[in-house]
Order: sequence, then C-alpha cells, then structure tokens
Amino acid sequence: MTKISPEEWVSKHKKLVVLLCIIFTIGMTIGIAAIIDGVNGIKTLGAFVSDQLLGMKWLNYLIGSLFAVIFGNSFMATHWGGALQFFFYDTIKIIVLLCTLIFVISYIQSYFPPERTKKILSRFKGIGGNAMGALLGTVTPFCSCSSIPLFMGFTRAGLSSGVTFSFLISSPLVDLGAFILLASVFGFPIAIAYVLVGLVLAIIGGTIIEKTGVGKHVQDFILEGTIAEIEGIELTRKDRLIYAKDQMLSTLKKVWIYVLIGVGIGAVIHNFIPADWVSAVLGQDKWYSVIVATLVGTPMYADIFGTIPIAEALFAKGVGVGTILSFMMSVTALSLPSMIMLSKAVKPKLLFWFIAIVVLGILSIGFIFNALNFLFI
Amino acid sequence: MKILTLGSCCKKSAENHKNAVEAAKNCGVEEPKNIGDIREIMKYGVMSTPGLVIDGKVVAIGRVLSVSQIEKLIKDCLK
Repeated sequence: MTKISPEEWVSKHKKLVVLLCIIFTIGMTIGIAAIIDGVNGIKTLGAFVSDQLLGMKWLNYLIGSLFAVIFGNSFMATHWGGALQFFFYDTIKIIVLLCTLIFVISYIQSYFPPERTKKILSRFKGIGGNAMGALLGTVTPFCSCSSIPLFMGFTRAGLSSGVTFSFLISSPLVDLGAFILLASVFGFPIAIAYVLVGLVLAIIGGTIIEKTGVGKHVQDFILEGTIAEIEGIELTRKDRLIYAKDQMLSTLKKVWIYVLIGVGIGAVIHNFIPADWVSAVLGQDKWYSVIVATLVGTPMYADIFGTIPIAEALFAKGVGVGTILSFMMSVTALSLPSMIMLSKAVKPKLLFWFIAIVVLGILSIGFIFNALNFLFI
Repeated sequence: MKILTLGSCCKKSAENHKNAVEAAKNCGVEEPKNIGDIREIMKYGVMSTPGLVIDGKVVAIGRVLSVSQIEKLIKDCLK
C-alpha cells in the first residue's frame, strides 16, 4: 500500500472526518457529563437537550415574561392568558424545529433516493431483509404519489413482499423528524423507545404479510412491463442544499395550517378543558383510551408536526404515554392519499390486511407503553 | 434534442415541467413532452417523480429543478 500523509488522507475523506468529529464531540460531552455526575449526569444532559434545546422551554419563559409585561400578571394567570402564551410559544417552537429538522433531514435523505435503496435491499432476504427495509424506510424520502412506482420497482427487483411492506410500514411511521419531535415533548427515552417499537412493528408486519402469503395479492400490472436500471445520479453539495431548502419550504407551505390547527387545539386542551374530562375519555387507567385514541386518529391525516402540540397538551393533562403515541401513530401512519394510491397497486385483500396489521400494531404499542409507564415517568 | 419530463401526479411534477418548458425555450430546443403514465416512467427506472430525461438519458430524479438548473443540463448535453 502506498504511503499517504495524514493531511492528504484528511483532505480526501473530508466528509468522514466531519462525521467523526461530530461523533467525537457528542461522545466527549456525554463522557464529561458522566464524569461529573455518573448516570445522573447523562440523564441531566439528556433532559437539558430535550427540554431546552429541542423543547425550547426558555422560549416559553421568555414569552410568558414578555406577555406579563404587556398584559399584566393577572391576565396571564387566566385561561386566556395561558392559552395566548401557549399559542405563541408552541407555534414559534414548532416552526423553528420544523425548518431546522426538515432541512437537515432532507440533506441526509438526499443520499438515500429510492432507486439506491432498491439496490441496497436487493441483497437482503428474510427477517434481516425486513429489518433493513424497515430501517431504510425511515431515511428514504417518498411522497405518496411515488408509492406505486416504488412498489413496482421493489417488487420487480425481486424484493420479497416482507421487505417491501416493512419499508412501507416504517416509512410514514418512523422518521428522523418524528424522533427529534418526540424527544422535545417526551424526552429521549420515550423517543428512542418509539423508534425501536415502530421498527419492530414494521418488521413483524412485513414478516406476517409475507409468511401468510397475503403479500402476493398485488395487482397484475405491477408484474408487467420492463423496468430499467439506472445508475445513481451523483448530486453536488449545492444540489443537496437546494433540495433540502426546497423540501423545507414546500413542507412549511403544506403543513403550516395543520400546525396552527394543532396548536389551537392544544391551547384549548391546555387551558380550557379540565383534566377530569380528558381523564374520563383518555385517562391512563381507562382500558379503552388507547382504542379511542387510535380510532379517532386513523381516519385523520395531519402532518406529525401538527400532532405535537396536541400530544403536549394531552400529556400535561395526564393522558398516558401509550395513548398519546397511539394517537400520533394512527394519524401519521395511515392517510387517505396513500391508501388510495396503495389500493391501486394491491388487491383489496392485501390492502385490508395491511391496514389491519398496522392498526393492531398501533393498538398493541399503546397498551404496552401505558403499562410500562412507570419506566419512563 | 428530445427532452422528457416524468411525472404528472402532483404539484412538484407540474412545476418541474413548467420549468423545463421555459428552459427549453431559452435554449432554443424542442419543447419537452410530459410523461404521466406510470408504466412508461418505470421504463426509465425512475421511482420518485419528478424526473428529467434528455435524449434518452435520465439526468435528474426526485426533485424539482429550477429553470437555470435545467438550462445548464441542456447546455451540457448540447456540447
């Protein structure tokens, strides 16, 4: 092997070096926290990141103080004062998070176009393949109008129905953005648990669909025609930045109304609806709370950013973590546009079982998380 | 020079096609045709629309290209 100087190596592998530096810094920070206070130190660090960095509690405090100066302390103590503060704080917080997250995540996702994912997945089979499918589903960007071509492409490339469906289930359900958002509301432990459980659900769902043979019921046209293989198209850094910026702006345009509605509902729940009412319908101890949450959420579709303020408000009113997660998952996992698209690509029997498995999975996750509440709170 | 825009399912594809038409006009080449049929699109191996094909070669997938970006691609192919 020819000798290469350190400087040359660094300049040749710039991206890798940057990545290693980031990992090193994170590691050092966690390490220092651990040295200062042991496991507690790490917990405090995690709480700081999720509360102040992501949750921007300082912003809430700032807005509260500012409004108290403008409107007077007595007004701020009323329901209206509280609702106003919540509305402003949450809207700003979510929009900032949304812009930052979508930008960064789209940049990362520009490295994982579906065409490349297909090539990667074609090497895997079985449960391992489903796991890869579920994992890649979280980082591969795709809009619902791509679901038919994607489905066709995967199926024709020889990917098993298990891999394809693991991908399809995890894609809307588990998302880098969702992870950060959950961390901002519930802290990292719950966010990590959500991702893991979502992936497991996707893997199990895909496996069931394949093993029971239900996965074969695709429409005939999927299996016809020719599909070309294209080599990956290399994007320059500038292309990726433009792409990330476009994704951020178009998502913002698409989603801002859901955010406002969500924050509005959240503000009402937070400040006007008594905890008893919420508890009566969705309380932790009510066995039907998860079912209610899932049934309400499934026919709805909103962007996950819109569900965050509702989740925050419900959480503050004592609704169980599992119930809230079920609500959020059912709103985002199944949407009318993607169901319509999917119904064109698969036969009714497969569509039915797909929806059934996802709903059952969400229900189980809700019950499990409610039962394990003591671990997180 | 034959330019094709792939995808007619949503706003992104429409915007991509509009930009391609304008770019083609600016470069003085034939107006691009839009392909909406999924089976036709799959023949190019494209799974995420919008896509752009110049003279049978796929030059972009999965994102909306600006007029200037498409003009550059056209000029590159003209060389």
